[in-house]
Amino acid sequence: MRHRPGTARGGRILTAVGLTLLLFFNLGPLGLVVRQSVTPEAETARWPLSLIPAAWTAENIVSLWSTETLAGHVMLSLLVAAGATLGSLVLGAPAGWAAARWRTAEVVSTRASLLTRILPPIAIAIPLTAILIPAGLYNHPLGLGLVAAHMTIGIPIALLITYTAFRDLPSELEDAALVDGCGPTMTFFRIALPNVRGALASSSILVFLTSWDEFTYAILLQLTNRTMPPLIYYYTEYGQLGAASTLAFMTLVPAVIVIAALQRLLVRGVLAGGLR
Amino acid sequence: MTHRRRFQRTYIALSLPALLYLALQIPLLGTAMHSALTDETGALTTDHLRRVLADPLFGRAALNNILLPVCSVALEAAVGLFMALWFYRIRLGKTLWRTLAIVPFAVPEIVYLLTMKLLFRQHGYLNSLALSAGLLDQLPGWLTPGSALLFGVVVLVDAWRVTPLVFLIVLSALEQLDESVLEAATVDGARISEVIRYIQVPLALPALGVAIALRAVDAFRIFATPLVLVGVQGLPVMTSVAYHYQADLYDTPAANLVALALGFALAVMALVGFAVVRRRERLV
Repeated sequence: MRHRPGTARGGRILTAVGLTLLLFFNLGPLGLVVRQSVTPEAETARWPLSLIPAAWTAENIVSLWSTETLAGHVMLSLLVAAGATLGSLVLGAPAGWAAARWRTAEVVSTRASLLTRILPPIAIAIPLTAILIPAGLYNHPLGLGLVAAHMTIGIPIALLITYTAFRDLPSELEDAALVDGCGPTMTFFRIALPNVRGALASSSILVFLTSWDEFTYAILLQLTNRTMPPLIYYYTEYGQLGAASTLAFMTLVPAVIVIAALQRLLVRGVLAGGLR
Repeated sequence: MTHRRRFQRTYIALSLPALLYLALQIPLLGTAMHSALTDETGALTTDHLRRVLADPLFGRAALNNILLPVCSVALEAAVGLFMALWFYRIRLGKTLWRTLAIVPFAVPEIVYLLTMKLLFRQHGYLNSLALSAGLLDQLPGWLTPGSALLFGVVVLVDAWRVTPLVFLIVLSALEQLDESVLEAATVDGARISEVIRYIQVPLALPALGVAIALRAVDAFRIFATPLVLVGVQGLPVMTSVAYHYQADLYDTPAANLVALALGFALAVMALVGFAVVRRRERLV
């Protein structure tokens, strides 16, 4: 009698039930967004609703395109996410290396990163507004204020991921470079950095996605020049669920690509310290 | 020695930009505190505090901000552990279902919340399905402001999104154990329930503790879930009340006060948590 799953009939039933429930609960609701986005707004008010749309339409995307500067919102979201990613990596990766090589930096950097995670974003966002308004960065058309805010979330992510990668990198490589007359800064750029390309890529993607999804700072720092999440929120508030669903569907696309590509990384990132 | 010093200088130079950037949040918190505790002339005042305390919305928010996270984290922990024990036995399509499990967490929060709104609103899909199936005579108002049902729905929606995370963390802990140990126990006559109770659950507990700590921090910062589902008034929490003061009432001092109160409570909780972990580690 082996304690093996899936061999007994009961085990097979448990497997089937488990997988079906997971599929139903995790993908089912997303199906509603897809369904709502391709049906006319009038059908949102119909009662009772059916899971199969009565009519298919591209009306939502067409009307969004003409009433909103839709491309502008998408571009702003992309720009903010790209800026936050770049800024977070440029500041976070060097600090990650220092943390991996020097105990003092390790203690200070990891603590600072964890403490940042504990603060509620709204406690930073409100006083930040008071600073950004006179600086002309509040509701900035290029989202510069929002980039600055998202970097406070992005730097800890980039720092912790690169720190782990640098730590796993054998230091003999860097010692050899040193013997050959390479200075510490040069060692970082020429030897250490190119060897953690994977960690740089994965932290870029995680920071990008975090910024792309971010809601609290976005809703407080961008009044009219909205990124996608607050835009979806406003359409939901106004009861235009078809339009909101269309926007949601567009916002989903990058997320889905990343989930598919980086499933293992996401799981590992979660295990490494709950990055979001 | 000079060698080491040269390296240390580089390490400091490379760490400083990131650390200084993160440290910029401290003066921001100072600005917030100043705004919350002083009047226009800059004199200390308790006016803002009294205004906030007199607002029934704040009292409700404070209470909800304790009840919601506690219920939500408890549900996540229970279901997450249960799922891990269940799915531990499933080998079929493992990469696929692990990906599937993380979907609600990996999609943007606002998109997830929109799906929940489509599902739970009065004339939404859940009630439509219940009506079509003839399950209910009277359709429940899942999102009726202030109702106990709404509280349950918000807990469920909040937990639904992050339970897979708890599940995956616990699952990876279970997988650390060599399967031969389980086989040996079974050979020695242990029932499955005994294997779970005496081997797997004790093994999962430390990981479950980590998962609970991680989720608790986020659970106490809950913002978008009640806001998107029912608005500020329907089920106020600290963050949404702060948002309401700032964005709807233009009362920045009150907004700062509420946000800081939450931040302070979280910092205290985190410090206590760290201290407990440290103490436990020392004992071990």
